Amino acid sequence: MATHNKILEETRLHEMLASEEAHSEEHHHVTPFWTMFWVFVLLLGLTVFTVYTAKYVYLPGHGNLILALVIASVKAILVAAFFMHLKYDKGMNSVVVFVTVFALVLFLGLTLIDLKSRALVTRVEAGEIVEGGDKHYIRNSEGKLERTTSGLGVTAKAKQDGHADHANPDGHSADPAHSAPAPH
Amino acid sequence: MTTANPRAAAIDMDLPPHARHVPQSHWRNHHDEAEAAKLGMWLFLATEVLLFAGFFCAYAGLRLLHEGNWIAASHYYLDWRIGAFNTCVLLLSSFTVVLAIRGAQTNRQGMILLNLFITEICAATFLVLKLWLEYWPKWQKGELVGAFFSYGNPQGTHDHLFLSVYWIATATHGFHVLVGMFVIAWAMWKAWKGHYGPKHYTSLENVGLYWHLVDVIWIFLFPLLYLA
Amino acid sequence: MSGHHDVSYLAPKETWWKTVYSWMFTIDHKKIGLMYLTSVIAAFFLGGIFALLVRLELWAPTQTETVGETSRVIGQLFHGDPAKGITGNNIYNRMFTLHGVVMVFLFIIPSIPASLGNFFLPIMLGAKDVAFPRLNLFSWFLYVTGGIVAVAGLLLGGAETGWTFYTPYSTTTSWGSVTAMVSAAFILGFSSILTGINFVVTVHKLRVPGMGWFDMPLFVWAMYATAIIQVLATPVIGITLLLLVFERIFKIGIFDPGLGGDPVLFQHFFWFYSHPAVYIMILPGMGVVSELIAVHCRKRIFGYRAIAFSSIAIAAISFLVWGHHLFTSETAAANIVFSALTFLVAVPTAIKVFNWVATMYKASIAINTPMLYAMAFLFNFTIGGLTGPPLATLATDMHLHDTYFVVAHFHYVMMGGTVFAFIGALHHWWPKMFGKMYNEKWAMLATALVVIGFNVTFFTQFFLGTQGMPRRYATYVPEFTTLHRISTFGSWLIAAGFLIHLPVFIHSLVAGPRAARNPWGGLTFEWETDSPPIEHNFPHEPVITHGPYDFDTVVPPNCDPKEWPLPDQELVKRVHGAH
Repeated sequence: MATHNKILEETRLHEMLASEEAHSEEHHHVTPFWTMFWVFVLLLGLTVFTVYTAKYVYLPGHGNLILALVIASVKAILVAAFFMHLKYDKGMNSVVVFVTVFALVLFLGLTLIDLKSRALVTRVEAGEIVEGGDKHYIRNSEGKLERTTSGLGVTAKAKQDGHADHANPDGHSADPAHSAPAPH
Repeated sequence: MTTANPRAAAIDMDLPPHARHVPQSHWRNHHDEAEAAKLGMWLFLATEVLLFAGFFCAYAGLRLLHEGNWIAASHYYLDWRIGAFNTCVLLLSSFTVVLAIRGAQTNRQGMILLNLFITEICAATFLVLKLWLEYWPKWQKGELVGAFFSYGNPQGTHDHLFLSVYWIATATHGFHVLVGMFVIAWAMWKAWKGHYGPKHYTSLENVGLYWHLVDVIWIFLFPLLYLA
Repeated sequence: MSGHHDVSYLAPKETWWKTVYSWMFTIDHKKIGLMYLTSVIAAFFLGGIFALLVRLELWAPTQTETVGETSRVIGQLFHGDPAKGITGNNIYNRMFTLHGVVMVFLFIIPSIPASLGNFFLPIMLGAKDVAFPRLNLFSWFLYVTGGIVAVAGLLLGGAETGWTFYTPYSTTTSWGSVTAMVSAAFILGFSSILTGINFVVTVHKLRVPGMGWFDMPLFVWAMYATAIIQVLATPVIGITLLLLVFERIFKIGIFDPGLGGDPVLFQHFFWFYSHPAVYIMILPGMGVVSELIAVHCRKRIFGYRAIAFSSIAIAAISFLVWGHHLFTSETAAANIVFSALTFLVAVPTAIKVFNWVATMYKASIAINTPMLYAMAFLFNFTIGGLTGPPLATLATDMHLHDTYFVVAHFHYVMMGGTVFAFIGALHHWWPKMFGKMYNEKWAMLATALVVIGFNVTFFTQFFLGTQGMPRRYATYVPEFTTLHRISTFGSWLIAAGFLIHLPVFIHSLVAGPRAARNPWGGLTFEWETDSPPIEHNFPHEPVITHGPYDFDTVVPPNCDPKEWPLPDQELVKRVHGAH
């Protein structure tokens, strides 16, 4: 029984060493030094570019934020592909990254659908609605929020134009019959 | 724990440790073990990304609710120059980690140790700058989280929310940098004992992957927090 | 017989302390799986006790004397004044919260993956262990730590927030110890994550040569899909609970409307994990059912690839639908998106149920405890699944949200689904894990009590829900009394059933008959090993010679061909086409 075990072990050892030989060539891709160096320089450059665009390039709406995120993504891709060796690895590691990023996008994206489609509270906070707001808040003279129950709220523009109809935040009358509401 | 690995008997003890690494007994060969370790590390990095995803989602949600205040707070409370310098420090540390792995691949033991050492210095610099130039002054001036905010000249009604996100996101990231320093120190110790060479540098590679992730997270935190 | 000196994994060492040490610091996946098994069963009984207390309180429309008396005792003990005891409502809140926390985090999430998955995944692949055995041990240590913190939290008063820990109550309440319970869940989450990582890499890297993806048993596919969810979703509950603790301790304000934060944000964070989490709960159960039905009906599973792909599809779709838990909290736009996406998940689920039923068609169905539980699964999980769409439909959900309808729905899928699959799996693999057979007659009696009791308990709750009985209420209007009493009576039947299951298992270990290596005639690799398996599972690396469900062409390993005759091969060729 002991010799039988020994023979088994030696056979396994033989198999293992044989398969080691077969695999020893493929594992170790060595990325050239200068590739890494220029990636590093590019990363530094993109950092400078990020700061520059944030300080001196004005884009409307959320443009600056999106640009900064795009540049950051490019940097992240460079780090992942070269420094983290994804470009030269087998595909499975990249699949892990893609799936993770997808999950991240889902998480933020769908949550933001909810948060962004909120109406009154966000518009009040953003200063868009300055008066009224059904069961929500108005800004009083000191700039502090206080509760009110008067209608749906009035935007600054509507107030300015004299269309301070509480039935609709944009100042248009809810009832078509009332085309010229009295100023507030 | 396990019975003795029967393969260990066949190894020539005159070789350096990295040339006589024996895979664990449930692996068919060293190649499978190394690839599996790397895949496992990538899966762990995926979990770290999703952990930080929470901070990014909180940032997005709260910024949406208080946009003007958010931008004003970012400009007022944070100095982009410190953030930018720290970004470059981390990028350098990523580069040196890559060079350390290269050292293992080309069997230059000195290169491994030197580059890991520089990485450690960069990590320490990051933390020191953060603590000394950012956290400490903020603590003193009362620019703190949520209900503890006591700074005398707020820019809006919700400065404390921005600072909450800033503090917890950078503190958690900083904690990961600190853990990274321990892990890199462990890799330095293993390198010192000759465990890394052309045929075997798996754990060094995995330490590198972790460190690159720490860098990538900062790459996103920097513009979102400092350049809002 | 192999004739070598490898011993059973259960064999004790030379001295008792060496035996204890060998279990405490083992890296053998079977030992780890067994330790998980005992713990999850203990957690199940603990959570069950809380459930019985909840149902006991609901026997009467108003506070029962039991609760009042407990309140007076606690008041006397802690405050020296009976009148200062926590009120019945507070006790009740803690009962249902602890029932949820213990059942979800300590029992059902680890149940099948950490116990049976750990034990059988490597064996089914022909491997000696999982990819990272030491990480596996670390997962176990984390589970134990989380369990200890949970029990400590329990002794510190538990929590009253519901297992969902909704803000702002969870961030502001001083009742109980929310921080301790939440910390326990955080630690347990990491245990789950590391198990998930281990399983994904094991399936990719440790299959025996010649075993392609479509040669794997469906249990393995289910474990793989579960592991994907564990890796991607669990970190989000980690950050959520971390933010909750920060909110409590540092008052960061991100969930506090008073500080400008958003409590609904917490709900999004929480359910981004907790919805995929329910698929962590059910997918392993589905994997088990595939095995049980195939083996105990001695028939090739119908639609192997469909079931395999459906497992992955369910894992993927599970990430798209979490908003259906917050239909009453979120905006109309989000509601529409999430409602539409939620209907998608029914498709791969239904595909599986149809395939299982098709497998049973014209098969030789054995009547034993595993098969009874598999059939109970089909019936009860389908009811649970069919009561999902009324909740996914916005109009009806507005009325059903937070009523007993929801409670009934999720108990049908979690208990009628996962728990039944788990118990069926226990009986199915019991002879393999321990080398002992259990008493079939008593087990079947217990099965009947559990299944009937379960339906009595929870079917009535659908009616309670549609009539408006809210969940998490300790008292109710007298009109609901009859239904509640029926439900409570059902809970006692369930308890009786489990109080028979447990002694059946214990008796089997102590005095049960020796089990054969392949008592059921299964074709997957575990039935080629000893009962119980040797330490390294196989004496030599197994060679794959047939598929996992080739019942019509292969005599089961370690079985007498006369007792397990193959069908007429000509008939097989005509029915299935040439192989």
